[in-house]
Amino acid sequence: MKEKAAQASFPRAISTMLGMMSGTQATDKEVRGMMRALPAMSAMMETFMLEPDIREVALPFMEIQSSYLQNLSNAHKEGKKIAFENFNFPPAILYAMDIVPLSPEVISSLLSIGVPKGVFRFLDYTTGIGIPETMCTAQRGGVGVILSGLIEKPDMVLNMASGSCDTNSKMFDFISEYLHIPFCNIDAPPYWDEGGEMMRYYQQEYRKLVAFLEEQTGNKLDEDKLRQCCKEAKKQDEYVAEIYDLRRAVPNPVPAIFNFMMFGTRFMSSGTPQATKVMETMYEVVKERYKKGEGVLPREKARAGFVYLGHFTMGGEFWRWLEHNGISLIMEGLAILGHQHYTIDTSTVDTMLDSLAGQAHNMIMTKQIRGPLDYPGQWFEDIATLSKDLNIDCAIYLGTMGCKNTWGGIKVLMKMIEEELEIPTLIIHSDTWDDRVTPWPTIRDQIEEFVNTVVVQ
Amino acid sequence: MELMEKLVEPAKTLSNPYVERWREKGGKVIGYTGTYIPEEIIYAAGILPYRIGGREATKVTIADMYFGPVICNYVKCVLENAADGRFDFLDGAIITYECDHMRRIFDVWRRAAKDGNARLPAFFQYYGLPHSRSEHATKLLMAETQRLIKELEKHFGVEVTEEGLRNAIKVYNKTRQLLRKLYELREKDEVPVTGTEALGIVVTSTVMPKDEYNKQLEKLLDELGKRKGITGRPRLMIVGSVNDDIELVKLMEDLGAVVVADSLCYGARCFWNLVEENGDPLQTIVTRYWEHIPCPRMYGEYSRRYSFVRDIARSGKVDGVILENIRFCDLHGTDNTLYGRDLEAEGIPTLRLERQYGPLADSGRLRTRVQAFLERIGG
Amino acid sequence: MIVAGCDVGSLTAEAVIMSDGEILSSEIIGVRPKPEQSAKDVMDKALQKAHLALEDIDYCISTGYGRERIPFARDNISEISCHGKGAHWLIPSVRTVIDVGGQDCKVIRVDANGKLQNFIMNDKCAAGTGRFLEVMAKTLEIRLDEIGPLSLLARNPVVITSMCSIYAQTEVAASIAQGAGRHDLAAGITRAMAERVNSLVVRVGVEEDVVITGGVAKNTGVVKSLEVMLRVNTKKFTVDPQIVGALGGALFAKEKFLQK
Repeated sequence: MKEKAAQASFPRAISTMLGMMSGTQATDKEVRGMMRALPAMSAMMETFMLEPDIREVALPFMEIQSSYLQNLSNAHKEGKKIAFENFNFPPAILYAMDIVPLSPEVISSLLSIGVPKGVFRFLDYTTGIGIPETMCTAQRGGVGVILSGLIEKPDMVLNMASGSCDTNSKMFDFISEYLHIPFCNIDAPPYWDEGGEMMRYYQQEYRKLVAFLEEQTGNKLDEDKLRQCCKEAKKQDEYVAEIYDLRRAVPNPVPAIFNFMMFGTRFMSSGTPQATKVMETMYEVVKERYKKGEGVLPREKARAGFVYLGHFTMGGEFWRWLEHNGISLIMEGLAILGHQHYTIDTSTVDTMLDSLAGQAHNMIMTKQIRGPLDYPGQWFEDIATLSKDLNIDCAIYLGTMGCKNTWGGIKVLMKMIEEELEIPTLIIHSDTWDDRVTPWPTIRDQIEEFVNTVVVQ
Repeated sequence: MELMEKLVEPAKTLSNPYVERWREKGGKVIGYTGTYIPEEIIYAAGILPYRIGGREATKVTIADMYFGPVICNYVKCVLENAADGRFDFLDGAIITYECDHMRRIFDVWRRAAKDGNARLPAFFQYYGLPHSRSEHATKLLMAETQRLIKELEKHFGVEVTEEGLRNAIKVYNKTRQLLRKLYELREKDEVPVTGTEALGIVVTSTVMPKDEYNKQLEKLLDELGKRKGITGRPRLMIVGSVNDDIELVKLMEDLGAVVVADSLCYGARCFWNLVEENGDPLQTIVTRYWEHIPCPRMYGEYSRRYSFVRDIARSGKVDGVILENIRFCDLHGTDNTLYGRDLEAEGIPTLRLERQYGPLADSGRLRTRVQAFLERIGG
Repeated sequence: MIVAGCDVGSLTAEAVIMSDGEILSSEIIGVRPKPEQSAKDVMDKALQKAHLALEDIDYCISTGYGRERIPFARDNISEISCHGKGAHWLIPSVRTVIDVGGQDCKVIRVDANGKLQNFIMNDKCAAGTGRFLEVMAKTLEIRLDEIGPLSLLARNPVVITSMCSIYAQTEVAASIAQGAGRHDLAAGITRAMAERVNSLVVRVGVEEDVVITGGVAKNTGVVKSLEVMLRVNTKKFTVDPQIVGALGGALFAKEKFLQK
C-alpha cells in the first residue's frame, strides 16, 4: 500500500473499469488488473446490467460513482478543497460551494460491493494505526483507504453525525486530530420536531457550517449556484416522494437495487443534475412497471422492512438474492426518504439554507435514532408509519457490530414492533461492511429460514 | 483510619448507611448518570442526588436480554443492578445522553420494568444534551434544564428557588474545593493517600448528602496533612472510561505503584470546575456543567482534554499514564490513541489497557500488562 | 553465583540455570495441572541436568502466567520483560521481539541494554496465534509442521481474510471446493497469520534487528510472510526459542542478586 499503488490510483482504476464497461480504451496493465477483478465485475454486471429496467437506471448511477471518484482525483489539481463528511449528509451545499465531498462510508461501500474481499485489508489497516476495532466498519474501510494514501487526503472534516451516532462522530473527531485539519461539528439536537425549536437549532448549526466552509475556501456562498443546487435537490425530492407512493402497490414495482441507487445518489450527489437524471429515470421505470401491474417478483413471499441497513457484499448480491427469493425489499433503512417533513424553498439564500438544513435534519439516522425510541419522530414511529403505509409484513435488523446506538435499543424496538405492529421480527448478528463477522451465505440462510417458517403463513 | 474508612466504605456498595438514614427521615433520592446533570438543582429541591453506578453487579444476564452484544459492560451492570433491585431505593432517575450506550438505559430500563424485570423509579426523565458548544446550544440546554426543573417540581411537589440554588452552589463548591485539596495532597512527593483511597473518597462524594460529606472530608484532610506519605514507588495517572470500582486501582497499586492523578469522570473531571457564585444561579450552574472538563462525547474538544491531561501529568510528576477504556467504549478508546501519541511525544510513557468492567473483569490480563509497564518505567 | 529463571506458561514450563554468564542447563516440559507443580518439575529436571540442588541457586526469578505462585522464586517479573531481556542477551543487536505463542501473541521493543521500551499483547483472540494454525492444519488434513514447507512452494496463494478461525475454515473449505491446491492454501494460511501478527506489530513499530520467537517461529512459511510484510530479515536464535523467557528470568535474577 505504498507509492506504487498510489500511482496506480484506485479511483482511476475504478473509473477505468467503468469506462471499459461503457466501451472506452484501457492499457494492457489495466486490463490485466481488471481481469483479476472479473469475478466482482461479473457479479456487478448481473446485479446492475442484466435486466433492462435496472440497467436504465444503473447507467446514470454508475456515472455518478465515476464522477465522485474522478472529482476526488482531480480536486487538488483544480485548486478545490476536499471535505471529509458523512454519507448521511446531502452534499448539495458542498457542490454549491465547489467543495469536493469525500465520504468514507461511500468508499467502504464501493469497495465492499465492487472489489473481492476489497474492504478487509483497509479495515485491518485502521486497527494497525490504533483506531479501535470496535469502531464502525462503515467509516473504517474508507478511512483505511485514505490513510494508506490511495485517495487524496481531505482538507477539512465536517461531522454531521453528532447527535445520532457517537462512533461515527468520534471517527471524524479523530481524523481531524490525526491529520491536523480543521473540524466543524454540526450537531443534531437531542430531540426531533418538525419546524420547531429543534429544527431551528439545527438550522443555526447549518449556518455555522456555511460560515466554516466560506472561511475554509476563502469564497463567499454564491446565491445562483446555491439556487441551482436547491432546484435540483427539490426535483430529486419530488421523485423520491413519488416513488415512495408507488411502493404501496402490491406487488411492489420498485426493484430492491433501486433502494441502493436511491440512497447512493442522495449521499453522493444530491443537488447535481446527474443525481436528478438518476431519480428521473428511476421514477419513469417504476411508474411504467406500476402501470403494467408489474411487480419485481412473480410472487411476493414477504414484504420486508429492513429497519436499519442492508448488507454490502460482492456484486450487491444482497439485493439480487432477496428478489430472486421472493422477498420484496419494501423498506431499507437507508432509503427512508419518502416522508419529507420539510420543503425546499428557493426564494432567498436564507430560505434555501434553512431548506437544506431541513433536509439534512430529516435524513435517516439523523432523524430517527437521535432520541429515545418511542419519542415523536423517532425510530419506532417512523417504522410504524412506514409499516402501515406500505403494508410491511416483517421487520429485519442488519447492522454493524460497531453500532452502539442501535445495538443498545434494537431488542427493545423489535419487541415494540412485535407487540404494536404485530409483525414478526428478526435480529441478525452481522456486519454490513465486514463479511468476515458473519459471511453472507450465513446471513442469507437466516433470512430465508425466517421468511419461510415465520413470515409465510 | 476510621475517618478514611467512613469515606471509602460507601464506595464499595450502591446503597449505604447515609442513604438509608436519609430515607428513614423521609427524604427522597433521585439517581442520575454521568457528570452533566446539574446536581445543585436536585439538592435545591431538598432531594438527595445519587450518582447511579455499575458496581455490585455480579452478572449481566438480564442486561444481555435487552442490550446487544457490543454494549459497554458498565451500562449493562447498571441495568442489572436495577433488575436485581439494588436501585429500588430511588424515587427518581434522570438518564442523560452522555454516550450512545448510556442513553439507551432510558429505553431499556423502561422496557425491563414493563416486562416485570426491574422496578422503574416513579420519576423517570431523559435529559437531552447537545454535543458542541455554541450560543444556541446553551439556550437549548437552559430550556431543557428548565423543563427538567418543572417536571421535578410537579412530581415531588417542591419548589426550586433562586435562594435554594444559591445555597446549593455554596455547598457543592465547598465539596469541589475540598476534593481539589485532596488532589493537591496527591501531587506531593510523599503521597499521603493512595489512589485506591482517593477513588473511594470521590465515589462516596456522589452517594452521600453533601453537607455531611463536606464535614467528614474536611476532618479527613486535616488528618492526611499529618500522615506519613508514600515514596519510592512509580507514580501513575489513570485516564479513560468511567470507573467506580476501586479494585481496578488497587490492582495497579498492589503491583507496587501509587496512583497520584487522573482524568476520570469518577475523579478530577467530576469536581474540578467550580460554579460561578455571582450571577443568575441557574445560568451559572448550567454553564458550569456544560463547560466542565469535557467527556470525549464533546466533539472537537480534544485539545482541551489533552491540555488538562498533560498539565495534571506534569504537576503530579507522574512516571506513566495508564490509558484505559472499557471494551466497546469508542469515545475513550479513540481518544486514548491520540493521548498515547501526544503524551509519548512529550516523553511521558503510556500503557493502553482495553478492559472489561464488572463481573467479567479480566484481572490476570491487566496485571501482566501493568506489571510490564511498571518494569518499563521503573529504574 | 548461580541463578535461575522459571517460566510457567499455560501450555509449557521452562527453566534455565546460569552461572558466570553461561547457560548451565535448560529444560522444557508440558504444564501440570498446578503451576507450582509445573515449576517444581521443570526446575528439578534442569537442576538434575546441571548436577545441582535447589539450595545451590542463589536467586530465582519466575515469570509467565503462573509466576506469582512459585514458592522457590524470590521475585517475579512479567514474561514481557523477560522475553525482551533473554532475546537481547542471545542477540545483542535485537530491538524488536515478536513472540507468537500457542495462545497469545506479543510484540516487545527493547533498547540497547535489553530494557523494555514498549509492548503490545493479544491474548484474547485466536487470530494471530498458534491456535489458528492448528485449526487450519486440521482443516487441510495435514500436520502442523507441514504448513510452512508447503507454503513456500505456492505459486498463487489463496487469499484468506477471515479474522475468526471458524470462518477461516469455511473460507478454506470453499477454496478447496474451487480446486485450490494445498500449497496455495498453506500459503494463504501463513500469509493470513502473518497479517494478523503484523497488525499488532505496527501498533508499536519495528526497529531492527527483529527476532521471531514462540512456537510459531518454527513455521518457516509464517516467518517468511512476516519478513516480507515487515521488509526485514529476521534473526534466528541458535537455542530453542521457547527458553527465552526463562533465560530472561535468570538474567534478571543475576541483576537482582548483584544489587543486594
